[in-house]
Amino acid sequence: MNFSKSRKGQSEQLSLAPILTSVVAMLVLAGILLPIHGFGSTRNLEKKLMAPDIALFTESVEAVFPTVNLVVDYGLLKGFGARVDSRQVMVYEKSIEDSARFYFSQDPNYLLGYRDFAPNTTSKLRAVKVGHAISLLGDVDKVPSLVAPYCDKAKTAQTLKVQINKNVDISQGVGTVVSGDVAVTARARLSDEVQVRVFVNQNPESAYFACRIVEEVQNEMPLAGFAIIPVNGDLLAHDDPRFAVAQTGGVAVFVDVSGPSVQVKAVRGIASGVTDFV
Amino acid sequence: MIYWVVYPILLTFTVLTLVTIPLYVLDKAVQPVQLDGAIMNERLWVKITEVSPVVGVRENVVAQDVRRASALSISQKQFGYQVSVEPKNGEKVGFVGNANFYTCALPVANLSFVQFTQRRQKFYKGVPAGVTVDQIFARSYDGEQKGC
Repeated sequence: MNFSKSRKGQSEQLSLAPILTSVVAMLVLAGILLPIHGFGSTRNLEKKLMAPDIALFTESVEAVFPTVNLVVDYGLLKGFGARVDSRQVMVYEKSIEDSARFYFSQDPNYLLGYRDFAPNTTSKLRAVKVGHAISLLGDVDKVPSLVAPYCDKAKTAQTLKVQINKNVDISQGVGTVVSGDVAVTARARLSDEVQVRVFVNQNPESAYFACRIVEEVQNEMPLAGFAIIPVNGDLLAHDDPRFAVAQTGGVAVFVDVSGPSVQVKAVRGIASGVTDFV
Repeated sequence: MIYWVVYPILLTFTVLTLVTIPLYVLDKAVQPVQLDGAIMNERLWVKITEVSPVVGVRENVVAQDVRRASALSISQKQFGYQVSVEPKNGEKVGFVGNANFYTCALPVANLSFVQFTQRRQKFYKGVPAGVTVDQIFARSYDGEQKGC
């Protein structure tokens, strides 16, 4: 028997097998633990989740009917900043260079106010939709009045000629604020809260015009309520200011504003509405 | 010698599986194509709806200027859509958003992309009309989609 040729119990095999197993086991553990450690420590996953979240949150505000005004909150995670820019959202920790990004389509009918909230400056991102405007607010920003109309900006009568009388007194009775191709009469009454009612004739453009007037009066003073009401001349007395509106074939409206000392602001709002429309 | 051959292969496979499966699952969470499609679908239907200053939203009526009503400012996202209105006995009108991507992706939409299509009955200029909103998204938001 030649003992020197036996391969049993060779020192190479005895030492290499456990070493190799240990090395591979360490590699396995490192391979598993490093990505797991990465998820928790760099917070990349949170950033990657928040960016599409905020983008889709912004899109969903535009998915409600245009006449709906709303306030809706999105809670921001501590330590993250968010920038809503032109058709993109960036979520970052220290600087914008380390941000996660997500894109969204923007509706040209809405005016979206871009904002950049630095990390830890706000606990929530508040979207406020009022008429055409969508604002993104932080904790300290004041929420605007939610009473406002949504007017189709494409409806513009560019060929009409008008004369605007900004000095008319509408607090004592009905006054003519606008004459020419567009007829606007108005009256201001005293009451506790500001309300605007605009009476329109059958001309389809009158309703769009009335919408602009309400929008501009709302810019002058917060409204408690508004209404755009079509009138039927057959049901009105001849001395009713709405009767003249009903009898007019062109663009004609009667604006009835009530509130505490609204005369000046109402006339200014009506004038801006006319300038917007013609 | 079996250690040198079987162990590395088996363990490499095990490591790759254990690392890629959670990554794949987490990656799916940041690819909300289904949610994106659902929100965009609703947006497009709302966008093409007629709004009157007097009576408000007219839910079953499509805006007269469909092309203008359905236009969006498109981002770099790989997404395209088509809104088409087919009035009864009338000429078909429509609008394609992100036309380059949409027309490129449409022939292979079912194979390589995610497609959402919804059809509803509405009124267009006083006439009953079939309205279709069709959207195509890339399967993933990262990187360039093959071919488009």
